[in-house]
This record gives sequence, structure tokens and C-alpha cells, in this order.
Amino acid sequence: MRVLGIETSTSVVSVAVAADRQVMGEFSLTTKHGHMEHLLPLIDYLLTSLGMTTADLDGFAASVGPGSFTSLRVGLSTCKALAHAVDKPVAGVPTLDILAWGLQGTPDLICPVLCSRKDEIYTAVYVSSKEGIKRLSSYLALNPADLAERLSGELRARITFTGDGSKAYWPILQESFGERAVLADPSRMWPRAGLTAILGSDILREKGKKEPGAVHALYVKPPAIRGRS
Amino acid sequence: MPATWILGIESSCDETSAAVVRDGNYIASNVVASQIAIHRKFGGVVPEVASRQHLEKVTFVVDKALKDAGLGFDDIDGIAVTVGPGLIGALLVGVAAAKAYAYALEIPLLPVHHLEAHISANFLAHTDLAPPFICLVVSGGHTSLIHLRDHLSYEILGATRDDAAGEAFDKIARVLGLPYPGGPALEELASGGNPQAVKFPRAWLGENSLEFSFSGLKTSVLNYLKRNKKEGREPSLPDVAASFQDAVVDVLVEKTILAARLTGVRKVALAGGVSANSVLRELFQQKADQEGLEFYFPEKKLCTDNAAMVACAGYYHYLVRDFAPLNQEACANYPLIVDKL
Repeated sequence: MRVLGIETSTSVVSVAVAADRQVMGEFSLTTKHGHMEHLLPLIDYLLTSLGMTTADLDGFAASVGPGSFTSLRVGLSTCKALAHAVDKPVAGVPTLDILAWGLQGTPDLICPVLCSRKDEIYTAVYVSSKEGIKRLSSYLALNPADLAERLSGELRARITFTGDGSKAYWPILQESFGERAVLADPSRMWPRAGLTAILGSDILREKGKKEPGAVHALYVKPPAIRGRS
Repeated sequence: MPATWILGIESSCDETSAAVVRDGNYIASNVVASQIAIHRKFGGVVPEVASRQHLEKVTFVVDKALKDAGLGFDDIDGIAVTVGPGLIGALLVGVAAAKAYAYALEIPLLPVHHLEAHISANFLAHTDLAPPFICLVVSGGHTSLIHLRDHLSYEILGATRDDAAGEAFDKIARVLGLPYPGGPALEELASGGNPQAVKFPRAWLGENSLEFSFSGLKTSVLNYLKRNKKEGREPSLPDVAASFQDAVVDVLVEKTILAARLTGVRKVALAGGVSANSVLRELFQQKADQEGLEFYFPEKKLCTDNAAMVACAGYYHYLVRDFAPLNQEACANYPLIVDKL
């Protein structure tokens, strides 16, 4: 099964094609506001490089967030329309899952952290096992200082943090967890579409066909609504 | 020549829409998923809510537009999309989808300006209409007088210096305690009032000016209401609504007629959400008749945001092969290119 993965939930725009859990090609670009500009040209270059067209794909996968709402919607809207145009199924993959899978094999706890607005983070808690990555908590939006309280019953020795938020809030995380906090290697800090495509193909295999309209963004938080004068 | 089928996509504000139009003048389908009921709770359009809704609906409206037209993707010759202006978060859902459809189907992407789309609603309503003509585009975001010299060739004769006419309608409607969207509610309230009851100011901005200003009028209405409240009087709200509407409509019509006189163009048209206003249409018709001008306006459902008008505008881009590249962006302040020919 050949699946195109699209990852736009952070400041990395990344595209990949995976076939049977192997990444055939992956392009990533760090860009603050260039998701719309670069996403489709990257997909085009990737498919052309692989000698493929969208019609050769068996499915599509996109990160559904949480993350930057605007860039997330660029990726999701693109993914849904591509799949709709060639009548292929779509899988939505939570961004925090992708980051956790990037640390598969890490002992003890894995805690991906993504920056949200207003000094908040998105996070969830995972463990790595022989079967893969297992999520232990729900997807959370909270103040980084409150994470310690959430994990107060947790007895495992070490917690590995990854994602853009772990770097941004490292002093707070260190203060909360002391020696128990470990910062992931920079090479694992950003979600990459290769994993989006692999995890997406797992979802497509296990859960079957999904219409483009049935894939939704994972915002975690309700929309911020400012009062009108 | 075989027929040309354009699929249009519109997501610039609070309507997610897709439509299929043949040869720029026959609407095969026009699907609009309106968010009015959702935004009404907040008294206006909430951009983040609008963006979320567009993402939920975009493939759904495209699917339905094709089914309603009895067509498949294979029948479509080009994808037209509103690139801007509009709410950036809303626009980019439509633009990203349109780019992806065009890319996967290997057909051209046709970049459409929102004003161009509104003007094009007239070509759908009147298949005999051809440029040149003067068009007043009047909506929640725009008040512009445009001389359409030819398809894709525009001369902007004047625009508002501050509030758009529709924006003024919405603001005054809110002050009068009317629900969102304010325009139609204000028109209904005004229908029971006397337009001569209060003499609100008209901003003519000097002889032969084709520019508009509505902020002074808005302040004047607010002051009138405040003054009455302070003096313990309760003014007739239908009278206030009717007098305000009269002041807006008066200026809109007079300046369009003036534009026709100054340019020597004998055809005038209306477009945009506010052109659904019956009082505006009636006064326009009356003044155009007096001046011996031909007057065109689209049916009400083509005045508000819809993708049929986008597909129609896109058809003319298709004819001159004005295709957008893969890196096309959505643009909140997209400028109207005055000459694409």
C-alpha cells in the first residue's frame, strides 16, 4: 500500500510516500508562513522523483493536530481534496502520536510537547513497548507548569520530552521534573511526514476506507472568541 | 466547440460553496453551505469558527456540486477559486483544496478576485450582458465603482474611504438590536418606517467624486440615538432604520449614475450582498430609467457569496489561459489586477 503523508502542524512542512511501512521518499522544509506556498510544489517534486502521480497512490494521510491551526488546515484541506479527486481513502494522524513514534524504543515515559498560543502547550503521555507506542493520557491543552501535577502519580524514573514546546519550555520542565526530565535529540524534535505516512497506512489497513469528509482536525481547544463591542 | 465546464470554489468569508458552470453562463449546480446560523450566536462572523467550518465542508460541497450537475471530475476543464480578498484563514481552506483538485486532476487552476466574482454574477443572470458597463459592487467588505471595459479589464472609478456600505448596515443593525446578518433585518425594520423622518447626512465628498464614505453617517445615527436617550425620548426605530437606509441608498445610486455620465457608459449593474436590498434595486431602476440607462442586477441568491459567480469569473481566466501556479497563495488583500488582457 502506497500512502502519501502530509505534515503541516508545526513550522515544518513535510511530505513523504511510504510503501508497506518503508519510507520511499521524504522532503521537509522549515518555514514560518510558507506552508501554502511550498506544500504542493513539494508533493509534486516528491511524486515526480518517485515516477508517480496521485493516481498511483492507494491512500492519503495527514497530521490532524493539535498544532498551528492555520498551517494544519492547509495540509488537511490539501490532503482531503487530493484524496477526493482520485477517489482514495484518507487517514488522520494525531501530531503528538507522530512525535511519540519518533522516539520508539525510548525507556520510561515519552511526552511530546507542542506550542499553543497564550503560554499553553499541547501534550499527551506515551510509553514505548514491543508492540509500538501506547498513549496513556488524553490529548491535553494546559499550562506547562501544570504538567508536573498531571504526572504526580507517575513513578517511572525518566520522562523524555520532544516537540517544539519541549525546547521552548525546557526551563519550566526542568524546574518541574529536575533530573527526571530528558530532552530528545534535535533530530527527533520535529514531526516528519514519513511517520505520518506509515502511521496513516496502519490506520487505513486496520480501520478501512474513510471518506475525505470523515477526517477532522484535532484542535483540542475550542475556538477563541473575542467579545464584540 | 465543446462546452467548457468550470468547477468554482468559494470560502472567502462565511459561506463554503462549490458550483459547476458551463461556458461562463449556465449554472449546472451551485451548492452553498451557509454558516449564518453558527455566527448568529456571536453577533457576527468569527474567523476561527469560519475556518473550521470551511475545512469540514469543502469536500462535501464539491461532491454535491458535481452530483447536482450530474457530472464527474473527468468532465471538469478547470478549477476556479477565490484567492482574495477575504478572511485569510477562511480563504486558505478553499485555495488549498482548489490547488489540490487542479493538481490531481491535471487541469488548470483559475485565480479569481472576489470583486470580479461578484461582478460576474451579472453574466449568470443576464446571458445577453456584455462589457463595457459600470458595476457598483456593494457588500460587507466592499463599496466600489468599477468600469468593466472588457472581461478581465477593470478600471476602478472609486471606492469607500472607510466603512463598506454593508459594514455600515451591519453596525447600525447591531445598535438597533437586530440579529446577524444585519442587512436583511434592517431592511425589514425599515419597511415599516418613514425614510424622510430623520435627515441623516450624505457624504458626497465634492463635485464629481466617485468615492464613498459611510463612517460620518454611522456616527450621525449613533449620536441621534444617544441624544434621544439623553433627552428621554424614544425615537421610532423603523424611522431611524428607514432614514439611515435612505441615506446609504441615495449616495450609492447617485454616484453610480454620475459614473455613467462621466464615462459615457450606458449600462450599469449592481453586485454584492447589499445589492439584494429591494429599496436599492427600486431606486436604481427608477434613476436608470430617468437617465435612459440599461440596468442589470443578479437575482438575490447570486448577490451573496456563492461559487457559481467564481466559476463564471474563472471561465474568462480559462479563455486567456491565465492559470495559477502550484505555489499560489491565498491573499487577504489580493489586489484587483486591472488588466489581464
